[in-house]
Amino acid sequence: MDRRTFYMFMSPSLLIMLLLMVFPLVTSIWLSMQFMTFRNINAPEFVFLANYLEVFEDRKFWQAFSFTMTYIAIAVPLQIFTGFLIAVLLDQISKRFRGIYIAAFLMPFIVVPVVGTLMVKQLFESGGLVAWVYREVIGARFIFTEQSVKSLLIAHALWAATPFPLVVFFAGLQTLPHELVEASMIDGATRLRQIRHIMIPHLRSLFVFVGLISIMDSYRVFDSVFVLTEQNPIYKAEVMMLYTFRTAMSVQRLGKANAMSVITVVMILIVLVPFLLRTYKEQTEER
Amino acid sequence: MKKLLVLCMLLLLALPSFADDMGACETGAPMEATEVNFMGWAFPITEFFASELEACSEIDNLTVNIQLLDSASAEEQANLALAGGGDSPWAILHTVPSRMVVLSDFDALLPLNDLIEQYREEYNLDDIPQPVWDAATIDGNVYGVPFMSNTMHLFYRMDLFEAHGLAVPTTYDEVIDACAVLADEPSIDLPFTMNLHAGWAWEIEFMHFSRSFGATYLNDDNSPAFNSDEGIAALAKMKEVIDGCMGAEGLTFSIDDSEIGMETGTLAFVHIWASRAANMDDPEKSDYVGGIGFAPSPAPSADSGILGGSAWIDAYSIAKRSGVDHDLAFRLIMETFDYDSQVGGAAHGAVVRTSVGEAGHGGRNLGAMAGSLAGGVGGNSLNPAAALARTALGNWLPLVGTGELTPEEALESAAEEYAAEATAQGYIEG
Repeated sequence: MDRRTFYMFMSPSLLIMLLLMVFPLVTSIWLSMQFMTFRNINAPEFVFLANYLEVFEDRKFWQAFSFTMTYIAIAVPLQIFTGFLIAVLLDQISKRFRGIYIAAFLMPFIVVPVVGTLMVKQLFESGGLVAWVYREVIGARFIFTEQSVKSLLIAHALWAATPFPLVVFFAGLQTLPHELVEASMIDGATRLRQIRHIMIPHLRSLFVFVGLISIMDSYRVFDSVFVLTEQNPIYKAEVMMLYTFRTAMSVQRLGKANAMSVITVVMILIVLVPFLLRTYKEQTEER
Repeated sequence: MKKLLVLCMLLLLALPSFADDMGACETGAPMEATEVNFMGWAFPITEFFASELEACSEIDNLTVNIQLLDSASAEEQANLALAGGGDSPWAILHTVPSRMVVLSDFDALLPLNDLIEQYREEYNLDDIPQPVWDAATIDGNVYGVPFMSNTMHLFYRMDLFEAHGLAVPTTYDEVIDACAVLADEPSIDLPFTMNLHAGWAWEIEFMHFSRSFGATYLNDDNSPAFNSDEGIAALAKMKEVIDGCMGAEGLTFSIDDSEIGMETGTLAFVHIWASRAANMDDPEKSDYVGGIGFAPSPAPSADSGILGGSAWIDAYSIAKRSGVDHDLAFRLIMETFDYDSQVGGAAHGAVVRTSVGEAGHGGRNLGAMAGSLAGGVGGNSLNPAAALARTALGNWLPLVGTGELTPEEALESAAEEYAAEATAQGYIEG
């Protein structure tokens, strides 16, 4: 393929990426250097890096960052482990029933995120089913506290996001060479050993892929925290996206909120670039 | 099977036309096809008036699109869409005075003085009391047509109060005493709640308490005043009520939770928005139809006797630039102001036409509302800097409820946060 044809094929996607990714990012960087509220939105004041300095000195920003990291550290491994476990189990059952199970596990993907979170929340509210069971079993009323709300956020993340690793791993398992599994069975390998020495190595690139996407997704978590906490500070469950949103909408500091967004993008890149480089290197080596 | 599926789809498509309970719209048909977008937030009376507006879609050349969000989302959407000074996606907006200040500052709202004069007689607009108009007036410009007033007051289970020989509390000290009596009542989960499930809800109750104790939010130079001795005493009283009546569970009760608690009998009394009263007598929602009593808000400070209820109005405003004829938008708003619509609305909340009240229309809670409005703390501050103070208070006050901060610490932290932001935004001279 000559260079001209290559660029012709590339140009539509390049143009879309420029419009949807580069242009908003550049705009956001420009806005992050302005002192801008809703009152002076048409005549913002250029303040260069003042918003960034303010963000770095903002205790609440770092609290939100810390909780976001904790959330990622707990939710992502749980999602990957659960998704992989269910995928392995699904791989074992008869093909006739797989469709039913997969459809059931994909339900959280179909539900609108806010609606899904509201449904989960209502289960735990005073008239909710889980709250009733809790009361019957424990003998006390379920109360939304810092611990219970944070646990609910993790449980919700598990429910809402596990279908993604599940589908990816299940698809990956369908590409596993059958003879390899049969040979290991003849050699007397247990199921656990098959998983450890055949399945996991076979799905390694998918683990990296799922990990990257899940980290990015968890970093951007908003809906569930917004609905479950109702922005009440007693739960101490503010994540970076929610704090950015509140800075823009409640405090009306649009420039500062954009600085937070840019910092968020940079932080995501810091986490992801080594993974992406490693994956790229592996792929090119395989070729 | 396919036929059945098609039939079901057709039925589903036809359902909204059966479900709508619309009144006749008397707005004349526009010359050209016109689409009028309305945005507001939902509670019983606004849903009723929205259906009145939507009925106007039956008129030739006119389509009215209704968008009812929650209050905070409506504010965010309006700020985002209108701050830049461009065209408004909505011709008619649901507003309250504090939002009128912000939106008129964006030059996004149309002063309605001329239209009000033009239609004063035709729609008998003198039937709306002047103080209500004044509440929607900024620097002489009327930025909204008020359609309802609102306040908070007490809702209480009459049977429980009678069984325990309790008088309806008139002060929060009496509320705490009543809670002590009702603490062992087995049929309820909690004796009392006030709405403290979120920071903004804390701020509203704090406004009631602090003003009753004689505190103000801001000094004349916009420096914080809510952290005064009076403010601290007010917050300490709120904490007493929480400890005596609500506990950790009560802090999580939203407005809906409190309403449902009264309707299902799991709460003995609540301090809640008057606009929720109609549902107490709705047999589809309430197990205690006719069994819930209403009384004015209790006084946080027994010394001042000022009641812990504030005065709010909700209004319909017209966007200055939406591409829709302002005259048409005004006449559409007037669809909710004709006598019949106001009578219909009175079943859901306190409408503003004097003649409707005088004719005996309205809920059983009108007396309690009037008490809270007349003896309460008045309206919200229209100073734009107060919005920042409210945000800062909402960030810190809830931590008093959990005992993590003392009232002094919480108010100092809020004052520090507010002062920094107000200085940065130019409300306080640096």
